[in-house]
Amino acid sequence: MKSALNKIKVIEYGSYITAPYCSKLLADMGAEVIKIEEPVQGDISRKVGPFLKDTPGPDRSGFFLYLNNNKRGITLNIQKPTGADIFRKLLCNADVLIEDTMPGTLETLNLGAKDLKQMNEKLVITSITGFGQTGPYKKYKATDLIAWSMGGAGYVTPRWCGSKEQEPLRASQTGSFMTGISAACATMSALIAQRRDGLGQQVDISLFESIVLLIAEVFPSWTYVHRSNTRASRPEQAPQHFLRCKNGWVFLHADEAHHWERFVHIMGDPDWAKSELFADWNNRAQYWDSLQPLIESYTTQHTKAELFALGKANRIPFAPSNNAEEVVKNPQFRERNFFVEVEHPVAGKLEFPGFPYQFSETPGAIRRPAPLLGQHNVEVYCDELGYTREELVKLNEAGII
Amino acid sequence: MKNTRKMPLEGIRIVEFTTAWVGPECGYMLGQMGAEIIKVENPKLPDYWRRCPAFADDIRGVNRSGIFAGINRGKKSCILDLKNLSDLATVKRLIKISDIVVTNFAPRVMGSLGLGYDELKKIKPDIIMVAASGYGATGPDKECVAFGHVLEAYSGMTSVLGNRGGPPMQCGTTVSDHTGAIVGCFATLVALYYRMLTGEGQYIDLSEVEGVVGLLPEVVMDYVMNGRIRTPQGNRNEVMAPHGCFQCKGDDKWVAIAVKTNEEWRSLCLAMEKPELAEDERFSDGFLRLAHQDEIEAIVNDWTKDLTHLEVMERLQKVKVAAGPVYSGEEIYNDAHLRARRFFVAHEHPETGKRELPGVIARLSETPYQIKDKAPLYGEHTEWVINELLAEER
Repeated sequence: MKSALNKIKVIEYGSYITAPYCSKLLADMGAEVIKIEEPVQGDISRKVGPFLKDTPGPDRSGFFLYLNNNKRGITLNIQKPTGADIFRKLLCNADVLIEDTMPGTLETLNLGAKDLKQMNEKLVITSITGFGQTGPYKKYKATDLIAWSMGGAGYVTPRWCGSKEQEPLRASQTGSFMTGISAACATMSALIAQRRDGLGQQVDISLFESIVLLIAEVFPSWTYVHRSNTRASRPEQAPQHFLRCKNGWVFLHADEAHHWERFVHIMGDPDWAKSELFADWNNRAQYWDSLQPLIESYTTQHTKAELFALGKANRIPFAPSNNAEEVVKNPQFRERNFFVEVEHPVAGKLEFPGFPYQFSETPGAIRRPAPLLGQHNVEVYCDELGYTREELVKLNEAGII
Repeated sequence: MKNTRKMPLEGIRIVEFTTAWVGPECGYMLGQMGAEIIKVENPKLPDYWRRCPAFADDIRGVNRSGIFAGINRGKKSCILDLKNLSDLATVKRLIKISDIVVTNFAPRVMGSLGLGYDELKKIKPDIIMVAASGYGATGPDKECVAFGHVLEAYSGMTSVLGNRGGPPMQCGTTVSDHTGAIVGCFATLVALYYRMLTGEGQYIDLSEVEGVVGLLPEVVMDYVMNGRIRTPQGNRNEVMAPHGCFQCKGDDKWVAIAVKTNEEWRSLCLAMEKPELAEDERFSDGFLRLAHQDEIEAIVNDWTKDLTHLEVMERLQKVKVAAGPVYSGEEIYNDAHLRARRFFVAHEHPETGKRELPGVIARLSETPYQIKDKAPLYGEHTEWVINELLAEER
């Protein structure tokens, strides 16, 4: 099968979500990724659940396995001089380094952009950090929650909850994953320029800025009307709400007249729907507290599946709030072969979320499972970099690999 | 010598058949990388965001929307009626001299206009076509009407968004749309790279909702591995405590704090001037802190409520504890760090004047991204496209 990126060599020196997700996206399209992990400890996501059968273990984290399918893995401590030398060798003929160290860390090891560029002028160095390589917060610590909050997403979530007393919330760790995708875009653009010019460069990605950029509906209000949207605001148009049904919740987005009219019709054209109170989308928003129980007197008679089928047949934007089981068993995802099965030497056969895009010529593919800790040390250090087995033992004993 | 290299996508021309979020935002990002973006607009129905607030100074107008500007700066706008044969012929001539087509129309639409991938390929053999839709172009739900928040419910995202034990809640931003846009941008670049190697174009069928599922591995994998259905947990985390937002001094001011290690916990206690808590056995390791989250959250809240969110951030970051304010739009605008990094960009605009908006998605050292111009006025470049761009190609 053809793959788009199979000639690209990537070194990943990162952990948890952003850098690993960035390199996973490249790996899924064919790039050869070598993941560097700390000896003994490994990527911290190996210690993050869920674990297979609720039994923790470095090769049993679903989180780690998902993020690291398709990569080879080696252990290396670059803080030690020999480790730094090996790191340089690895980067000598690589196309990309994806890293997430605190700004300045690599420089102190003489592995900064200038040093690396001298050695390999085509190298693209993608650095993903909480706040970027410059500016007063560059050494501040960020987690997903911190960046999501500072980036403006927390202030408006949960949307339309109506109360400032509601704690601002995050939506899983979607901000970190989106930042990983942003970094993959920037890396690809630098690779296109590398292919053209034969030269690499440095790419600076900030988690904080990525969130401000990726929630593009939040910021413009400030400079256009000098108002900040808040989660306590109420909608100007309705319905765009969750509704109770027989076995859970559905989300109805039928504020526009044509959608609302069709929805009223599937409810059997009840008399209350003719009330002046609900005459247009602004009214329906204004009197939502009265309207919601009326709609729910209909929706609670039906299941999520029944309502979704009706929405589909009547072209109304309407969907169930699916839980994990309903997502995994979902016929739409199944028919598109979205979930991909991967066999791993420890975790066995498991299904993972696959690729959100289908390429006609160069489809994404899983070619290997996530690496065990140091699984490819012999292959990379001995077969590719030329160290002997005896040296490998010594490197291990010295805590370098 | 500096910046003598061309931008990554210089010389690449993209035609957009898009509206609302996914398509326009995808094209916008590719435009920052140097591509020329020609947005084909409907003569009767301007882009969704041209018709929706926030309008500059609350005055409605197709050229006044802030959200539209945010994701359409740097493009050219060309009004053409795809249902009119002569305009359709113009569109085809435009595609003949372009590299990429980006669309987020419902899957059946481009085909019904005679602009499906097979037709485009006849016009331009190496064309790359990126077709984004809510559910993808195949499968039983492909024709379902897809709006962003609807997809977030469908994806499973909202099944874990909310207060502990509470119902699903909505995200304040349409994660599905923004994810679709950036995933589409990545896919386009991959296809472009492959075209550089082989000269071959291709068709990309992108499903927004699948993009969101890809951001939720812990939700999916807990079901796959353990049969467990996860539920909303507020901001609580499996390994960190405290982990949440805490009220500060002022109206609706909050600070986010995340503590993982014993060292961070000790630093937090000292910053709160409660050294005795650092020695308290109830909180002495991560397992115990998770078990006593209610007490910890009450203690932290008691401390933050008399401080500003920026004071909390500064005090905690100084001792290497992750903390940051829950910013409103206004506070983002005034943030010292973003200002120091020159994050915001403003362009002169004939109807709205200069307005600052967030800038580029990445800082590249040698081929920096650039937002070349303001958002186009509705149809601003129609004449240029027909009389200049296409005239030259005749």
